[in-house]
Amino acid sequence: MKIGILTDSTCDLPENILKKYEINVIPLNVSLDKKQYKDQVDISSIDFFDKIKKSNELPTTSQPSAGEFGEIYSKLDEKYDHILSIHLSKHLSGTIQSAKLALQNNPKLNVTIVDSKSASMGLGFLVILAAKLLKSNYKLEEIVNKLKKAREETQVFLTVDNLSFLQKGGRINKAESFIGNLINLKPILKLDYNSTSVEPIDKVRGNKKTHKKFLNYIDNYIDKNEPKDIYWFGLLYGEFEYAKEFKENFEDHLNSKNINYKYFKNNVGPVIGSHTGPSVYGIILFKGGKYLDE
Amino acid sequence: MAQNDIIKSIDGKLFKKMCYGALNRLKDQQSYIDSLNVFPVPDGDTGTNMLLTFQEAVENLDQVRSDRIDKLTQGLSKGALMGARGNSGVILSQLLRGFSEANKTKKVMSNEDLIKSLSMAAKIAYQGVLKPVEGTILTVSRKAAKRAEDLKDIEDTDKLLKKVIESAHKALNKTPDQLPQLKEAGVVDAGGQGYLTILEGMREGLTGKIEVTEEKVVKKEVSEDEVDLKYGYCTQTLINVKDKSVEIDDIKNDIEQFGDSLMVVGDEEIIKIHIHTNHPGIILEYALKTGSLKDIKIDNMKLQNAEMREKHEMKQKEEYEEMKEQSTEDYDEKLIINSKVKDLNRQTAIIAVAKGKGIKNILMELGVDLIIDGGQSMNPSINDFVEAIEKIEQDRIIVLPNNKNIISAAQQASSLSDKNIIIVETKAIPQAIAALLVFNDQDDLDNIKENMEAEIKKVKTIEITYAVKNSKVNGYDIKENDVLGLVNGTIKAVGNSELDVIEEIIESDWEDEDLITIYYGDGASEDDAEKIKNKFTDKSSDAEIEIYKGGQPLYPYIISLE
Repeated sequence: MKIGILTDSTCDLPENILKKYEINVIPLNVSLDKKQYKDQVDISSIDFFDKIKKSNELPTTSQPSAGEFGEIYSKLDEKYDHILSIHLSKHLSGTIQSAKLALQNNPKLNVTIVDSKSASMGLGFLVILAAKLLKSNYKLEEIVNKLKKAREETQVFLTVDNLSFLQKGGRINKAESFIGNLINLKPILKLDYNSTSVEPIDKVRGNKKTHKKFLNYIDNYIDKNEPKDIYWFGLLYGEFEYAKEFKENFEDHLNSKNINYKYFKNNVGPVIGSHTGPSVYGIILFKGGKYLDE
Repeated sequence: MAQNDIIKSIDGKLFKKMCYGALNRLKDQQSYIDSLNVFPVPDGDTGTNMLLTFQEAVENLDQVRSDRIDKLTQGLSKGALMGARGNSGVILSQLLRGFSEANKTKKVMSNEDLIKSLSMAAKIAYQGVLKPVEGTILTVSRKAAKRAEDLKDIEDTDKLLKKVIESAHKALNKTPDQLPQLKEAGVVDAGGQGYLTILEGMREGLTGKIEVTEEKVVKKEVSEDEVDLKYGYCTQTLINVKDKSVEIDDIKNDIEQFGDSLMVVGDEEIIKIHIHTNHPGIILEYALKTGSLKDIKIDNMKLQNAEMREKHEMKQKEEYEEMKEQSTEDYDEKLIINSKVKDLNRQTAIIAVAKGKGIKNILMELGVDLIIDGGQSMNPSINDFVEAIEKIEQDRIIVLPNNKNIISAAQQASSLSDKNIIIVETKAIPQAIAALLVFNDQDDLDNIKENMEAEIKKVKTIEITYAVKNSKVNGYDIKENDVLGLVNGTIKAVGNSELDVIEEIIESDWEDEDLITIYYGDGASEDDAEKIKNKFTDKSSDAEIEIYKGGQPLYPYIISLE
């Protein structure tokens, strides 16, 4: 059985990886100053952040329509026997809902939808894992089971200079988002299997302390009782300058750990960027190697 | 007084006279007692705190509609408890509670009751202090009580008191031998002196040696002599504001350099300025930029006599208070409720004590529900805390006193309330800011306290202030107006300039820090703060440094290192 993988543009995986693993991508939509763009297709992150800065408005985003899903599913259906459709958490977007609707409209399609319960590279890592498992000739059912286990241990931590993007986009709960703007506070936000929104879990003053918090999350994530080579780490960022200093600390810290790991870094796409603003950066913690034989 | 006229017991009327006597003595000695504070920082003014506490005690005594001793001592005790300010005030309130406890069901205080009162006072005062230190007011009270125990055979109450006072005095004179800090500074304990003063005043009231007026409010004495006026013209005007974004504080900052007795009050539409200055013209020109003027009044104060001046000041104060009540946003209010937090429907409320608009704003942005105006030299009373606690809807409350001399008043207030109150013993504003970052509304109160206290330990606080008097502390020979640099409450540098003092602290106390925050207060500008920032950058080029306008009085800089 030939299985194809579809994800959405919020997976924030670089072009070469998408190509290497033959991963298909359906774009979400982003709109700024009354113009509509297909995420990562019509507009790149760099251009998008430039535009945000010049605009007085905040961007808005929308899921792909059921029609768009139907179209792409039909196209992939010709090429594959089955489609594994892995997407952004249903708590953060209606993308999965559109996908389900497309299946209702066309019951003949052979599609399995998996909710990553994550976003950005948290979704991306799950997609890479699926592609690797596929290459190792695992059966569909086995792959889906492994993905469902892996997503339980996926953790995303991020920080932003101010919460206005997240607040306006409604991806953060109001009481939790109460935070001073008078004093330079960095909120640390978490997204994991149990999150129903991006949750603020810490407030930190200053960059150095923020970095220390992140490194601390990594230390807590590394489990001495598990093999040393299962870890995948990701660095995500909006505009790179915000993440520059942290990148050094992050990489040094990983090197100082007695583990083998895979390391990916990429900027977030316009859709994720719409909800975080350009100042975002963060880490993705994933135990991908736990599910592979290599 | 004839020999057979001796007083053998104290009735209600006499007890009141004794209290008035004590209040008057305390009033006379206030500055002297303040001057005994070892720490020359503008804080912990023992004389002021004891006077304010005793004053409220006497005011409450006057409300008692009975001449029974039990009722009167109870009234005195209750008043002191509510009015207690600072550590010395809290201990005084405990001493007075001893008097009340010892006289339950008594109509008249016999000598035996008086002896019992002194013992009970000392006993309760000791119980009220977590770690009693000898060489303080506690010791003086204990020695006085002990002496009294041996005087059961004395018939003459005055003689009894006289002997007790002699012992108290002796005990007080020995305090420098018990506390090395006192010896170094060459003073006796301030709180002990306060208690002695009260006992002396009581004796004076007892024998009627002094004219005791039943005046409730202690008035500061105004010298009748020709006052040397630094600023000659009292200048006032109302401004019809044209730009509604004008801030009262900005006006204050702009014109305070031109004089003193500055008052600026008002709202978005009308602002009143009052200042004593030598340049009324500059003030009016400045006011013109803000809007159109009305009711301009300029008086040459040198031509006024003392009485007129006093009247004028009183009137000003009244007007000021009146306008202050009307103005919408006033950061000098005793209690400020943070309306933004109210919408969050939190389970736990936070009360903090603070001074300075900038600092208050930061604390409120970080989630403080209610701010009690106060801090160094302005210790809120137990009653202020009680009022604040009553204003809070929630039953779970966290209190951040932000000053070591305010913690005990907060604790007393918390013991008077049925609410579930936790006091996180913050001794400086940076500690409160650090603690607020780990606040978790849903968490167990004990956990919140534990988490907050863990954060407090990670912050180092540097405070820069000016010596209010000459003193010898920690081996420093401090002169009035010297710049003092404190690290976590301990004097670590003394000098002539703020910059030098900070540099000295940086050199001696440097640890690699992640974040340095400079809160500049009254008398410092952002430019000054930048210069201080540079001192830190010289030491460590990659230090992360933030500057905020705190607006706190008396401390030009509060700096946190964490």
